[in-house]
Amino acid sequence: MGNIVYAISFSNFNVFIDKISKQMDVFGPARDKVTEYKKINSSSELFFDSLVEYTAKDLFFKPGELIMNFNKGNIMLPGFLKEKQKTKVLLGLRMCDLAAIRKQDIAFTQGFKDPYYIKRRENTLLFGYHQKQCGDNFCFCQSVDLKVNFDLMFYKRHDHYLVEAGSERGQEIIDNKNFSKFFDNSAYQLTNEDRKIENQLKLSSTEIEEIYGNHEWKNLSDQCISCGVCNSLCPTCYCFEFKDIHNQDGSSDKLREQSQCQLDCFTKVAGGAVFRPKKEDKFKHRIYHQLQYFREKHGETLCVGCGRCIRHCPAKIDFVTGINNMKTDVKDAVSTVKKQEVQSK
Amino acid sequence: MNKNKTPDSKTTPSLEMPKMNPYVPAKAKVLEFFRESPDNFSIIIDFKTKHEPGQFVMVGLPGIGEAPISICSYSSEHMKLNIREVGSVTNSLAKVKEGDFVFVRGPYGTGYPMNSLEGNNIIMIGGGCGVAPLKGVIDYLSSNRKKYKDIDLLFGYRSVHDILFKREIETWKQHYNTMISIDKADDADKNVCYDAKVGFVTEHLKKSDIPVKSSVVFICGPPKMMELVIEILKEKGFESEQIFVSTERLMQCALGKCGHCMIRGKYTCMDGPVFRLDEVEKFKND
Repeated sequence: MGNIVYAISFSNFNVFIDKISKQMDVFGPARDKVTEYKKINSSSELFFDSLVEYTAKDLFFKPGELIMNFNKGNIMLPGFLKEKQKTKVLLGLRMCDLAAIRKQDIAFTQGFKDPYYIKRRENTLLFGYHQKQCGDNFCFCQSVDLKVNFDLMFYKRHDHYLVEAGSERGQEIIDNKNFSKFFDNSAYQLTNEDRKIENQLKLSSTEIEEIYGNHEWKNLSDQCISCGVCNSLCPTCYCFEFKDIHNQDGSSDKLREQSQCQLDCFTKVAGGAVFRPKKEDKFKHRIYHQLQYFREKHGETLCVGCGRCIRHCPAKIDFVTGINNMKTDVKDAVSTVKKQEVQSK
Repeated sequence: MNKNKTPDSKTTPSLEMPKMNPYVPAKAKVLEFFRESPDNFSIIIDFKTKHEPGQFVMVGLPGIGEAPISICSYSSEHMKLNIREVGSVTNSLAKVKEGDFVFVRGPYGTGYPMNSLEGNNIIMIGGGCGVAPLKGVIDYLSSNRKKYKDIDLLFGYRSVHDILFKREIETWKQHYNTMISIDKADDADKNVCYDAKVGFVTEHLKKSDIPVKSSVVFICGPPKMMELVIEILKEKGFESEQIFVSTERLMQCALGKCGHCMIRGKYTCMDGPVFRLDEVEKFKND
């Protein structure tokens, strides 16, 4: 027996958001010049009609995070680490961005736990947003491990959302006396078909070990201008670096910034040696980390198929088609060998 | 496989706060400062911890940053670090005096698997400040000497001025087959008294008759030198499984998070810095 599926009309959804935003901080897709996840005060600010250009990762994996302050030989930690975080809601998360939060949760909590990420992530309710025709020509989320954790999921229908609770906290929102009047029991059972998303682009396989030595990687990466936008816009790229700065009062701060593996400085050590100088190797490192290395450690791909790294690449490098071509080459080569074997017999 | 699974509480990552903040270093007093060469120095710090030979610590100064430094001692009482002045952190560390404090966290990484190598000959080949982690192994051997057979040390430096651990070499010579070499001897140094062979350590390695059978080799040095040494060892009949390399990469966190030190999915800071050669051999530039 599946979860109870509720229904909420679009107009009630707006009233629900207006109400909940009076009680807690609500973040959702809003459009100024670009669509991004930001704090909203009313449902009228929400914008669901385009893909979300910027990711939600900055909310928890904050650029310029103060890690510690050194003052007269003592270490001071930022106060928020000890404070209980107010409950906040992050809503309108497309499936890819929702899955990306799971991946970052894994990255920052497995092995050594990262207190800064965990604290910012604490008490955040995740409301997913599902739409069958979700993306554009660059989305390929159905080709990767799109595992998600959510509190509530909103499936878009023609004039209402179907709502499913994914956690106790999500169910509490639906059962809350202030909100329960908006949610009707729909008596509907969600099928796998309902959970699917239609993609134009398809990655033929995430198993790419066999094509590591393929010369096509060089052709693909030759067009790269090493701008690092693929890293910056990636909802799952979690590499970081520390920056130490001096303050006017004589103290100094250790800050954390997001890193870009497509730049030389990513592997540059004191003395100037760069350990991964070739564009091809840097490009491959990003793709293999996304599709293979993370899966080897954590059992699922890091990539969520949001397509941002292809959509916004100034050199228009499409690694998905690139990999598909390489995989076809391998298949062709294998079948040719097999044919030859058969003929020689 | 159903790719659009509903959540499963068992696979939900736990968002529980850690008891310890892993990025916060300890304050350690500098007990001794010793200049080894014009661009290299050693410090002994009041930092008590259990560690393996080959592991490293992150050493930092406020407002400057942190650098991974290999531990070149084996003691639970204090820690010795050998540092080459090559970047902003190490140049600043060169200015510390006895009694000053530095910030230290660690130890980190996987060192030499000394226990599983018992009963073998150990050959250590080091170049420049790459000798530092090997010095940690030597200190370990001084209290575990009987567990291993012959010990060979082949350490190469650029010039007579760059020789490190001059105070220790005499003791090493009494216990181990010790060969110190310098790449070249300048005319200007003809009045300097030294006991070292002239020529690249690789040349001396070619000529040496180190035993191949039941031997393991530890290499640490500049990448070019390590490559050449591996080539020579292979010619002598060594297998990749007998060779251990200590690798260098940019490190920010040393906790397997920041991603900078990753070599083909392996974290140098956790899976390394010491790797058995067959684990990383095919991953040269990855």
